[in-house]
Amino acid sequence: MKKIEKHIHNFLIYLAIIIFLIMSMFPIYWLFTLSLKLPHEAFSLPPTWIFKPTLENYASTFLYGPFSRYLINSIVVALSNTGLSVMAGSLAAYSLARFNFRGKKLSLLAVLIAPTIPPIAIAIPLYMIYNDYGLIDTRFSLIITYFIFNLPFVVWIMYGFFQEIPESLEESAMLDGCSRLGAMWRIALPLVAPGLAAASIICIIYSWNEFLYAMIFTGTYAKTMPVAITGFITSRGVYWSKVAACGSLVILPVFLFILFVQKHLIKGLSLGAVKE
Amino acid sequence: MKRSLLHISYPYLLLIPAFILIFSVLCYPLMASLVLSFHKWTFSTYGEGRVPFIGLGNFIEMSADPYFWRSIVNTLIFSGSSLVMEFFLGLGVALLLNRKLVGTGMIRTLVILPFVLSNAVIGLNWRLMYNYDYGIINYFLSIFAIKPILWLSDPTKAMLSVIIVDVWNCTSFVVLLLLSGLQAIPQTPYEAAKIDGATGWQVFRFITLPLLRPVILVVLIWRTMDLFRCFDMIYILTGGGPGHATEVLSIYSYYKGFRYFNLGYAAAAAWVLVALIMIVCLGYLKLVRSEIID
Repeated sequence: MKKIEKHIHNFLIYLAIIIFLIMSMFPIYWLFTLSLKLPHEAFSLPPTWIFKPTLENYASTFLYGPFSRYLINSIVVALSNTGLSVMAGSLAAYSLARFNFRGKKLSLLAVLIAPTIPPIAIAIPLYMIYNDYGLIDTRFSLIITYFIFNLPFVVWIMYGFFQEIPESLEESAMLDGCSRLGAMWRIALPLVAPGLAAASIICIIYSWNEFLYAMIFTGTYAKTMPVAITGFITSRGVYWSKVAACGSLVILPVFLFILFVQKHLIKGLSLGAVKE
Repeated sequence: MKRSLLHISYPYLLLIPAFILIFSVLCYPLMASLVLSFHKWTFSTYGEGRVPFIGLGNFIEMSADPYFWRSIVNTLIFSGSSLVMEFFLGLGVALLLNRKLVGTGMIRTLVILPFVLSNAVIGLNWRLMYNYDYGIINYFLSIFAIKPILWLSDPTKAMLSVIIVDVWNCTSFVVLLLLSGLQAIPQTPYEAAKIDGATGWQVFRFITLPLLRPVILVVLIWRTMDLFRCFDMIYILTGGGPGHATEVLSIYSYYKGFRYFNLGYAAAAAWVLVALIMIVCLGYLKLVRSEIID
């Protein structure tokens, strides 16, 4: 009897999890299939569940028109900002984790408070500043804007990772004649590699997806993919098939990323919040 | 050990790049927007070349605007309901996933997906699914003989529709954090409870919940902040409409600034949002402190 009860119990748990998974996956699945359907199949009701996939929508979106440029914009902005954020952020995090100095508590507090500020409060003055310096509609403006979120995040994550490494390792290296920076470079950095990976992934995903700043600061040239997609909403209607094709292309890299590096990502995301 | 000047300045040298960047894109603009909120910055005042200081003028004008109060109520309704739903749903799923099941690694990867995907894409996708004529959701409802619903263009239902999307989007974040919190709890208290013959509910109420409390607080603070300043999703789904039905404070501020180019007024509205978030965060911190004293 007990055994049957346990089986039913397990079955119910699986059932609940599967229902939750279907609910969270279905919209993504729906978008993806839509991008592979011809327009007349896309909006037929009842929906066509079985269809012959076509790359027509992708071809018509990317072969003609400026979308390949928007894709390049997205890639350039995400990678440049991530590289710079991770470099500057790890240096700062190392300093905060290893030294005691005046203003340390204040710096840590600033890093914690920074992400609580609503983007719209910064977007207004930044727009005016960029306007004065002729930076509106440039990739550069987005690359530096994304420091607002990414830099504090890198500092916070890397601070946690550096604190986990015993300082004695670097001290013994320094006794052997290594400089402080040398000890950081040769001893500490390799040990926090998982942290660097997690921080980079989160920075890339944030820059890749960001919408509000990108919408306000770019016009025709430096648009990134999320903003470009909203261009398919026109006064004559919405081009849903193109939305689906572009949308899938924005989602797909993140999806693959997550599949391959999920362990790092989960550690990074949860370290920022759980390890306190 | 010799203590050179370089030695003392090391910590500061390492901080300088990050400090300069954060100061120039975060601190300075933030202060600039505070200053701006006390000025009358519109196209006409800017065009005349002098932007007058009007003290609390923007804030006084705002307090007389019914749509401003509407946007605050909308922000509270949207954040409050989403937070409650996301938290309880997330806690439930995290508890379910916190056991040795087949394929948990894969499940955990999939669970986090909605949270890391682009809000713009997700918003547009849901807009299509909500479509009255050819949306898949009304089709599913029609199977159960439910009449099609005007999800996004009915002012009484638009807020609910937006909340549903946010719950779909962000519950996964709650699951992820609570799950890592659950897994950090040591096994010993559970073993002791088992020996003492505690029921499942007692174990949850007197062991899991108290030990999970710090993580729960972190989750609540993060989600509250995020919900208060939510912009992308609502902007893409409804643009704050129909009418002003889903216009939260960040969208209100955006329209004032970038549609009517009343930038001083928009900055003032944004600072009300900053103040709201600060108040809520302080409230949470007080909760934490009173608990430590208990």
